[in-house]
Amino acid sequence: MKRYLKVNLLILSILFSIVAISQLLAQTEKSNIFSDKNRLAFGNYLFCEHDYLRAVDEFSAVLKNSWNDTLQFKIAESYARMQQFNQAYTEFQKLEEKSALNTQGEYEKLRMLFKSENYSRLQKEVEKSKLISSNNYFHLLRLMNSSMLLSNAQLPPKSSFLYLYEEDDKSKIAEFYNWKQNPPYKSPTKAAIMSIIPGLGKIYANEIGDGITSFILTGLFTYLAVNKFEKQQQSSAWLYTAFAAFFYSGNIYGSVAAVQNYNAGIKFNFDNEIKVFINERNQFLPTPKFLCE
Amino acid sequence: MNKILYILIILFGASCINQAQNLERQKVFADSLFNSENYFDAITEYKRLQFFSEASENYYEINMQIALCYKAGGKYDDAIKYFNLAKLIAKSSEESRKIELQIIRTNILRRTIPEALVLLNKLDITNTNYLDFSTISYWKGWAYLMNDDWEQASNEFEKIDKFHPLKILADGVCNKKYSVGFAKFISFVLPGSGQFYTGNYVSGVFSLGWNILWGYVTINAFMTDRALEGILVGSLLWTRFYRGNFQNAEKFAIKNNNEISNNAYEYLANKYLGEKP
Repeated sequence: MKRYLKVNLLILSILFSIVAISQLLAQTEKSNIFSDKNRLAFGNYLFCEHDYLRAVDEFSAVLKNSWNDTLQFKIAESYARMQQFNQAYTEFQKLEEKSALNTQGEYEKLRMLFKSENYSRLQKEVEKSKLISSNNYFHLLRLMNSSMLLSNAQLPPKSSFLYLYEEDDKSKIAEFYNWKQNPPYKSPTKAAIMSIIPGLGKIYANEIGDGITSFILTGLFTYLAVNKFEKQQQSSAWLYTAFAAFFYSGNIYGSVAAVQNYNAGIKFNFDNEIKVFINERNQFLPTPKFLCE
Repeated sequence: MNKILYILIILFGASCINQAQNLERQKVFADSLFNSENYFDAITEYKRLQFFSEASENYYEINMQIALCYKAGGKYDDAIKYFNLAKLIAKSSEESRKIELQIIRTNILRRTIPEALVLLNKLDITNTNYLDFSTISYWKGWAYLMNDDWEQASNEFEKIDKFHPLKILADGVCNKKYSVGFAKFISFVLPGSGQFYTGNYVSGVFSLGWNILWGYVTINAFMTDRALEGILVGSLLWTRFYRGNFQNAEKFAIKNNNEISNNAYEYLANKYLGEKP
């Protein structure tokens, strides 16, 4: 009986020791809130709370002690979410080639170039990207083609430009393509020539009210100048001539400026529409998912 | 075996105490950052403390400190978010009132004055020693000050004390300020007089000169039966200078008033020793 009790006590002691040691280790780990594990957990919490700047600090502190590609990716993503696209690009570049996140990192680098509106570099990087030979090459080509609509790059023939896109997107992309090939710009030279008849250049630039005003003012001052010259009232005549000349030259300059404004407005709206279209489709690239999303 | 067990029990207890001490040390660290006005790092450390602290009774104080850091750093939206989080776990009405007042003060700093005034009117001052009518008038006065409404501000500070320093300041600003309407009106009557009223004498002389010149040319044209010329000069030149004259007077009055207000704000920011939002 005594021996039986002794054995039981020994087993209980061992079990308790195991539990106590594991608790002890856990407590020790928990008590050091600056341990890598705890900094990582805190960094993840900050990331999910959208406090990206502080999350970067925590992730960086952990990375100093041991390399982790997921953390490097999160640092880059944090910069991207803070709209610091150039810094994000640099951070995505640090992902090693052998990393499982390398492919996504390559996509993200291109996304950063698009978001920072560095379209020419984006096109060059897509052309030399090793992903172009993978099965997902169409993601890259869609993004590259779309960026061409926003840059001065020469567009490929329409059929080869459109075939990459989804059926639903094709009609809109075709619309953008046509616009890019034949933008509805107005000619400043034509406006200047039309301004020989005061106001006509402004009417051409869709500023009808200004055109009519310009016509009336220039006409009236010219009439007064002529009238004064006929009556030999030299000083008044020259004064009105100066006014007429001022309004006439203003009419030509104003017409050219109005056309330039009109064209800038058209370009701005077009670029905006394309950007909204591309961003709504996440730049045609696969997007990473995080646990807190 | 028993000895080992005792050692384990002691170590386990010691590690529990150590963890509590670590959190206490973390709080001291965060507080020291806060006191040295290193608000960015203070927020990080308070957030860390909150993340690792299992005892939710500390959350009120931590959220409050985070909010104060954000407020001091000029991040008013975040400050209000954390004040509201602290309010959710406030233990007494006293604590709630304290937070509500902080939210109002942050709204004053954020220049969301209508929001601050609505909250001040809603503030329940019954059953609390922390607030009274003079506190509400004081912060209402500040809300009006920050809204550039010095007259209303003076009225609010007068409710506290007829010789309240902020009432004297607000009255001084009211007296120094130019009446924009009056400057415009006298310029309607006599071109250039609005500029004289606001102390811009050169501009006033020019304005008067241009109006006399083009007025003369216009009237002369009509008198000598040159109606078309009169209409043209009158509508294109005289009216242009006449309109410019009172617009200018208005602009000068507004600019001078802004300078007067800015001087007062500078005094409030740098020299006023009373409580500020």
